[in-house]
Amino acid sequence: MQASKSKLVRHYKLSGKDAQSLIDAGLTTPKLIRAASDNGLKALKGIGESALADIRKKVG
Amino acid sequence: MPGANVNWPIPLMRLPPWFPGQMGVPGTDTDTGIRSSSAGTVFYVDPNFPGASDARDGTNPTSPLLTVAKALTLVQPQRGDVIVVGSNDAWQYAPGGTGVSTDYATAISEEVTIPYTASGVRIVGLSAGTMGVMWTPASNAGTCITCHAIDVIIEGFVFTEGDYTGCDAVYCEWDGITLFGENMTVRNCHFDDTVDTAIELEFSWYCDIHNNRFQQNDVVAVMSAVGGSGTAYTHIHDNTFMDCAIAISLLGGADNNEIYDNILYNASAAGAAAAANEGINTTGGSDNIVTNNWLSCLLPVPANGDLDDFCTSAGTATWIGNHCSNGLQVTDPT
Repeated sequence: MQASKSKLVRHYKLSGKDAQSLIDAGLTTPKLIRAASDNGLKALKGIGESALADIRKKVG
Repeated sequence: MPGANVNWPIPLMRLPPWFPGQMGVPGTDTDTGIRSSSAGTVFYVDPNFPGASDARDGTNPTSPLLTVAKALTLVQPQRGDVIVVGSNDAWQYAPGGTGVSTDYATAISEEVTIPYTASGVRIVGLSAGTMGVMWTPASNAGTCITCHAIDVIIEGFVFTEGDYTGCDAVYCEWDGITLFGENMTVRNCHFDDTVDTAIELEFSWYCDIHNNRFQQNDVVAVMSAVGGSGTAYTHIHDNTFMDCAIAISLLGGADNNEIYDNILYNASAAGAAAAANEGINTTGGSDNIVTNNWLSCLLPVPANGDLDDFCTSAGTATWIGNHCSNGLQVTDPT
């Protein structure tokens, strides 16, 4: 899936880089993202504290 | 309800030599007939037809397939294919048929998944009756149709539990990996009082749910789950919700949806009894428009069964001109 065209970027306004990390991990929906722990998300490539905060704010 | 724009019996011609159309109905004199495009194929399913078999190719109405599940394996994506499901003598109060036609007593009793490889398919129940072709699950609390494909149309069915206990009718899901349930249209269907959840949308956008009747559904008529991913850009309009446990519950962050021109009757609200969020609830979502719906509740009093009790708006939703029993709604329900 092309992150820049994904729902996570176009609808939830995540950065393309963060969205790609989530998509590569199979976290393509808010339900899956919300179910992931903070540590689980930070373990993804390119997801640091600020990216995590942005994801939680925009997606949940 | 019968499928829209269905012309009986002309669509049952396998290779029509000409296209006479239907008098007074513009656009029917085309080579597509019931198909969505000229290249589409019509597959016929009729378990009551003598000798119906899934071993056939299903393109001949006098040699139909036995199951919708088989037809879905034959559909090509985005070709304009149509699955026509023949009518039967079964109905909600007589799952084994009314006895008028013992040869046509079998309802559709299946739990099918529309795979993403069947995108663009239209599944039509073709019935002369007002409720549609009866469809039941094949197990207790089973889901009749799970949609994982884009651009699917479902119409002309009455969903009911039949010989089983409990029934969920349509579940549509998108995850962008293998599940692409989106842009789904559900129209001209009847969801009866044995249905638990009629239509659930999980991250499925741009759906169009119209001209349906939701009759006393036990759990909820149209929903996106509170712990789910919501729905967006979906239109829910021109439906009748008769005394459902919950009529429309778009949670999970649902946004940018339009809910309009629906009729919602709720006996509790109409009788000024407690009916907390049994009408329209968009809590936690945003930017939804709710307009010109007809609600069997009073304007905010506050009291049991009033608009604030019956419905709840998301913070950024806009409610415009919804009709309560005693006048037009002015403020969004809380």
